[in-house]
Amino acid sequence: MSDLAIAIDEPSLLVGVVGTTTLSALEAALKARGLTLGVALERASTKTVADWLASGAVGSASVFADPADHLVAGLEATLPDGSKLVVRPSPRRSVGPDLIALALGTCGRLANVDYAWLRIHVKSAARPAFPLPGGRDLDPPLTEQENRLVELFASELRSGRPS
Amino acid sequence: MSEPFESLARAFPEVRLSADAADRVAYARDLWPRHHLAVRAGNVAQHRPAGIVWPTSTEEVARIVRWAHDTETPVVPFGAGSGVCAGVLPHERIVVIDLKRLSRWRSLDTEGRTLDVEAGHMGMPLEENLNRRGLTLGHFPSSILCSTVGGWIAARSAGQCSGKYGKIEDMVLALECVTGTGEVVHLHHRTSGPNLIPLVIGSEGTLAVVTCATLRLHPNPTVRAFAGFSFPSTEHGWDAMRAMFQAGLRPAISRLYDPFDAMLARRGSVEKDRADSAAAPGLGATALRSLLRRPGTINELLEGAFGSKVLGGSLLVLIFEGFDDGPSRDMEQAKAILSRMRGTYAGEGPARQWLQHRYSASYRQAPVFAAGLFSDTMEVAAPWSKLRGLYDGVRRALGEHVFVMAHLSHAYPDGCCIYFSFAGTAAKGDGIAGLEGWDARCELTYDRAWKAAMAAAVDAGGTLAHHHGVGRSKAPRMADELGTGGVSTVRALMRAFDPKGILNPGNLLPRTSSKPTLNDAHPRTVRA
Repeated sequence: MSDLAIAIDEPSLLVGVVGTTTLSALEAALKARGLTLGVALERASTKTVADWLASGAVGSASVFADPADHLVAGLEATLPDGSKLVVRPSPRRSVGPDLIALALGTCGRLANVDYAWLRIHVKSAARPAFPLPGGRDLDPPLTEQENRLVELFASELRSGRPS
Repeated sequence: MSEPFESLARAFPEVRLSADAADRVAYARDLWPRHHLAVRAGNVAQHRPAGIVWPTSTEEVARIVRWAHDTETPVVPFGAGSGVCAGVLPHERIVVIDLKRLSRWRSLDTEGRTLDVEAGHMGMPLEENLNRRGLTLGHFPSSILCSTVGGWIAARSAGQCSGKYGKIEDMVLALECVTGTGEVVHLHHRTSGPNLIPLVIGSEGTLAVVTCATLRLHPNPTVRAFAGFSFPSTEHGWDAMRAMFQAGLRPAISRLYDPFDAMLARRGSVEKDRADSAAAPGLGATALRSLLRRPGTINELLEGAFGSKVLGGSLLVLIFEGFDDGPSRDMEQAKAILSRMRGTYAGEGPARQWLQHRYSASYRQAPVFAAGLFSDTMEVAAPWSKLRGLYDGVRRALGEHVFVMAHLSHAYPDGCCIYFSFAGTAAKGDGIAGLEGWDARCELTYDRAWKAAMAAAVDAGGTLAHHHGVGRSKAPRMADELGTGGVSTVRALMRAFDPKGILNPGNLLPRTSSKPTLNDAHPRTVRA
């Protein structure tokens, strides 16, 4: 994990940030450089980055609003058995399941974020926004079946079986 | 007919299946180019499955998988077989589940712009049917003529318009799939998580058999704006692409060709008849084979400043699409950015020509193999800050073994994919025991090139694959990509979804058993 609490990759418009950093501290550091996380932080600014991601990154845009843009490019996380998961930053990849999904909105059941690479924006830059798919709840409650799968993953991840 | 397959036939008399020799040959491989070398050497189908089954409903898929689970028979879901990484590599115990008869539209919501479509639906008819209703999926992989919805999802596919519409993972709102126990599960997109769909997308048939997907649609654009821009170098070109994407522009097409690839594009992206005849075995092929014995020299010459000057620099093909004056306004903004970044406007021609031949490039492989050579592609990605290192590192690694060119065709605000195309020939055979045959020595060059390139990609901080997937060709390198923690995590997912490990065994991850059912596609130890 990086020693820096906040590491900005300006060419890529990414910020690497320790999970215990609060969103307000992150946004202040970005603002000083004319940058922003670009999310609506009103209710979440006192949260840490790790907690914010674990609770579903409230205030961030839907992937359907700008499909070319993703919030999380990479992360380092601790799994339920204490082992470490590292997903190096990349705009996209096609190397099996997207393991970032284990940490987003799972409330720490599958992974706890130690460090994250997040997309940032130049304050003045335009942000594309497609209309979202209509007539659907894009945040439906977890079904019983999905919840059972999450529990199964958690149980397997806790088992600490070797690779 | 093998014993397990006889048992399957008895259990499902109403389901179409076959253990016919011709069918088993047809399903023995995908389009991994290393297979082509084996075929050219006369080894047409070394990996024949026990048989093939064609279910027509999710319930039939579930029953077949339950049978496989109970009898511990390995199965491989199969779309159109156009994968290029040996994601399908059966053996005599494996039953192939071909999903192409599972291809209905279950429901189309024209107002909400979503479609529930079964996994075996072929790509091009899907898009054409949507277009007739004024809609588009926005997914145009080069394989669209020979790939299915399920195949796209399995491989985490990208289409030519990813800069506007995203990759397939950005289009899926819900999935129906069958786990390794035969249970039918329904997964839903959830913006705030937990979202289990990204775990199944890209899992290449190892976690579940995808049977149906709910896809997000768009209104089919009615207006396009075209332009080509020349740049002094490839790096100038990708700096300009980065500026465009970070300014919020989302071109449907932005393809940057390196100087050699650009020279081909300027000549005409496909002069098909001429290309075919020139590459046919004969004097031209002999000359080409001789030339490719010294790829390092050619690569150095073409990649340097001299090559760039002679070939006319790199070329960016740009297309915006949408409605009314939107595309032309976006193009004007793009022109302003690109001009500031040393782009020289080259007219609309290159972009219009590209669009006309957008699916042709993928069908140029056969003449290369017929000429006694081989070709392949490698698509890697990295954040913009690491792109130079990735480009140089992989290019240098490949260039020692094969002739290499590159284009960049999937850009994002935070990074880009580099698509290397390469062609090579047989390694010199002197003193290499057991490698007397031409094709065996081609395999040696092929393996050396891939091994070096994958190591270079990881060293440069890139990812091993942007949209082709892993298959068995990259599986031995997955620990380099994901780390031991990542590999353990994927194995945990596999145990949760498929406790008996019957779904496409041997795919995606390095093997653990000392007695694998299949050899690694790329042996870790490559003969020097």
